[in-house]
Amino acid sequence: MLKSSPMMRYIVYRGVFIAAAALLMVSVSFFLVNAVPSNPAGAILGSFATEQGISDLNHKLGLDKPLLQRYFEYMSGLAHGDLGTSYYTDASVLESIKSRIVGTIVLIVPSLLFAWIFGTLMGGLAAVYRGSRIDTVVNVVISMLQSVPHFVIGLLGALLLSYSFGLLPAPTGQVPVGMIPPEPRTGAVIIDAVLAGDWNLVVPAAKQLVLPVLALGLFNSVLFARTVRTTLAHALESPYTEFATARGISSVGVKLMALRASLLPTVTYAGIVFANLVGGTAIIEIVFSWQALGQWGIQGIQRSDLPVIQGFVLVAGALALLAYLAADFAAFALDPRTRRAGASGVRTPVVPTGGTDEVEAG
Amino acid sequence: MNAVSGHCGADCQGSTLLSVCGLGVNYRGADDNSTPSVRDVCFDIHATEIVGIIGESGSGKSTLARALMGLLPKSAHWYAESSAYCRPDGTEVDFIGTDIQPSLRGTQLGFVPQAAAGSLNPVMRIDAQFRRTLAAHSISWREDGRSRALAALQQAGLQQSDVVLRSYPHELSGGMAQRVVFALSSVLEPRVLIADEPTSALDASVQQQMLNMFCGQVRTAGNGAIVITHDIRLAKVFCDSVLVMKDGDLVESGPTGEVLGNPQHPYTIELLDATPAQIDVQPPSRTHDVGFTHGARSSACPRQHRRAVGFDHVVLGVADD
Amino acid sequence: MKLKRDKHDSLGPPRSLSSSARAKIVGGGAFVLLVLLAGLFLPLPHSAVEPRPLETYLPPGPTYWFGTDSAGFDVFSRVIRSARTDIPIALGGVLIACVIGTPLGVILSRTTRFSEFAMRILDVFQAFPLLIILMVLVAVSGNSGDVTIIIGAVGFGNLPLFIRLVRAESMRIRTLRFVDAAEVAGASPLRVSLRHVMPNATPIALAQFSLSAGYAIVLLAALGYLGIGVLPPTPTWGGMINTGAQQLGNGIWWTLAFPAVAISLTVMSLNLVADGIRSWLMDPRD
Repeated sequence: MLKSSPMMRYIVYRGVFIAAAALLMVSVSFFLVNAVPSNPAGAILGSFATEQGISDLNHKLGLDKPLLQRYFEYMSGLAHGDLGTSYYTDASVLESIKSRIVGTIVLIVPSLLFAWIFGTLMGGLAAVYRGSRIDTVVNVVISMLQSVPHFVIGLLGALLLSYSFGLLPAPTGQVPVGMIPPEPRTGAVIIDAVLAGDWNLVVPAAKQLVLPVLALGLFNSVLFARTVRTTLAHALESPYTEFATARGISSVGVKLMALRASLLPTVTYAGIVFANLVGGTAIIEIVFSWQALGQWGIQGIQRSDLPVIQGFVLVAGALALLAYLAADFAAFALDPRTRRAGASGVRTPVVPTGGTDEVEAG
Repeated sequence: MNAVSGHCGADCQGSTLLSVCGLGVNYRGADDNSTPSVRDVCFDIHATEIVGIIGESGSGKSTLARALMGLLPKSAHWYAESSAYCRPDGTEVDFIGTDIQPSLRGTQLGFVPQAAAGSLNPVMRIDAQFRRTLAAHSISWREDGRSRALAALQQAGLQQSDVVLRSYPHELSGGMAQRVVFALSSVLEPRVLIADEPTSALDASVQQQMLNMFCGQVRTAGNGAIVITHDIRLAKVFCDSVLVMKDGDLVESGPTGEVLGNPQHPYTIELLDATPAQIDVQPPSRTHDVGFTHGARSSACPRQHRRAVGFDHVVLGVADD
Repeated sequence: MKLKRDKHDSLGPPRSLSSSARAKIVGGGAFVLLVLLAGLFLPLPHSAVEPRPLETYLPPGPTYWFGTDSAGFDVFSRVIRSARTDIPIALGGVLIACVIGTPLGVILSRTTRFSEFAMRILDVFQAFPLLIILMVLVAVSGNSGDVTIIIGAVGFGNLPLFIRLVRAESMRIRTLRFVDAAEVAGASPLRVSLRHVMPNATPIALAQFSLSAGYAIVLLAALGYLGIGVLPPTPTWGGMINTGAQQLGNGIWWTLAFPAVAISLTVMSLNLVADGIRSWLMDPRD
């Protein structure tokens, strides 16, 4: 009789959840945008809006239909892969998303990695040197990073590193100044440059990435730093650290072993940070003129382009949800404690003692 | 080296493994005052000898053990008037509180902690933990490290040693974890193995094996062991000499038969009075099982009746504390 | 999306405040209060809303302490006045989330099938990045500068977090003995929730309140930067950063720097308060 392992049960449970969540997510994004009392037609027509003009436009855009009817139309359109078209440009929302999403991912992933590594480093230092001046310095730095908004970090970074010292390019977007963008295959200039074999472009394109990634990464490193600071400090005071020292393992080795034991919570937090970054890139893209999903979405928001807004909200929510799920799954899979007990084969009592050495069932 | 009033000399004579004199530990408190938690302890340990340190909780036994290993936190200050670790090649080195002390850990001084489950890194497999331990002493895993680990586990009573190596700590039962911890310490064959309450977390029959295991390691390999325990009966059966601690002071020390058979210090007398004498921990039902009955001699590891050179039955005053 | 809590977080009745925790809470709280009161009441040397086109881009000096910006506004006056909008919106919005979310969290901490189901739904809501929710809610509802909508949006966006946090904490509190004792003594579930669980869950909600308020200010700055929310000429820190950023290339730094510093100090103070509350609660480790 096949007993389902914890892993299998987890996957099935999560699978059902994902399906239900997807449905819910689409609905929520619809209602978020459409259930709020709004006047997109008025916004579109701007200062030339007249009563007649507004109601005509409402009719043309289908906004005068009842809410539920619009909901069902939207859902059925979605089932066919149709997310609507922009009020302003007539471009398909789905196409717009596809051509821009990679450009945003190209910002999010390096920022996440930077935040993770930098945050772990900071937290590690604070934990190892607890109570000393290094700890205080690190704590102050963490505090500051959390308090200065990411786009401000970006602007200040641009001010210092670009305008004052010329170390990095100005915030001009994905394409380096004066260079010709490559053929758009994924929508991310740096990847497209690699794909097209345009090697002259790759390094400058990478440099365009540095400032935005720094801004996002620094701001979001705080969560990792705090987590590692707490868990590592705890691990360093634990009996297994003392025992490792007692066995003659070097102080560096002991600290690394303690770090290993304290990294698991950061995996869960990586999911949260990814979701935060999805929101963060939106504004960073504006600050740095980075033509990708966030910029498109915010533009839509600013001009009440409802289908664009809906599509943007949906994608953002979906990305974030996927990140949470992936992080949760990774944390589950990487935790040795969720291995099937006995997977290593330890089952029978190994010394005849009357039963005190049974393996824990599980 | 006998300490009667605190003036002593630690040295390596004959088969001495280590010797300390005037060992003390102070903790720097929150108010920056120092509270002594161990005062003026003197003893030595010889090859094949098992020394027991007995006393109530808070008597400073664990602190003493950790001072020998150098495992105390930064807020602690430990020192000795004189100390000597006797290397196999005959040289002596002053080790308490010096820079040499960390280098003795592992192969010279071994430590078996009290709570086994918490002493194993939860995210590392057992073989990885062995590997790190051995690598820290330049023993290659591939060459003979792995086989040494297997042997150590076997000797600790874990016959499915290769399976245990592939396990994670949470997959082991309490008794198995304690054996693994013991194996991790003994795989390096330290000359002095210090065990902090090695049996308090185990039940009776497992305790017995643990101690037999201990005994075998020590007596056969010619090493020494220091056992910290609050269980006097255990000390009675296994330890060749005992040190009695109270509130950080060493109140009485000497060969077990003398200290526990003919106690001089009032505290020792109190302790013995409080110990149930005739209760068997477990009725001996297997050939190699022994209950802790008063005066039992049928243990697989009988205590040695020896009057080690220079280690007299010492009583440090009988004044009230 | 379970946040694993540090196993060492022990909770008993709140200990007496250590002096450093007290300093943090009082210091941080005082600063925020000061800035807010200044924003509300401080008489300004120059008007914050009447432009002086003849006096643009003056560097910081004796008349205009923080300099002037592109429209001739006194930067100092505008920075101070912005506190009048940014801080109350952040505090008010998060307060709503806290006040509604805490009881809900306590109620949902009884592990019934309904509560599990409700949490799953909440997961989906919480998945949307907060900044995006804020932007959409405010912009779509007309972006008329109506402050109540913004406050409502901030509250709505933060609600799932508070529910989840208080629920997790309440579930832990329920495992403590004194709750057992109350239940054994025959207290009704409602009474147990209100009288025993909620008071002990409140401190952590307060700490989170401060933390989220700080984050809310950051997000509001982003909104202001994008021109969403409070409309000109009412000054906001985010809006000021926007105008300030445009002149970066010309070496005019004061229009950007001062609002940035104002935001940072305010958020840092709020984080400090949160830190103080947390060290009041947790095992003293530092």
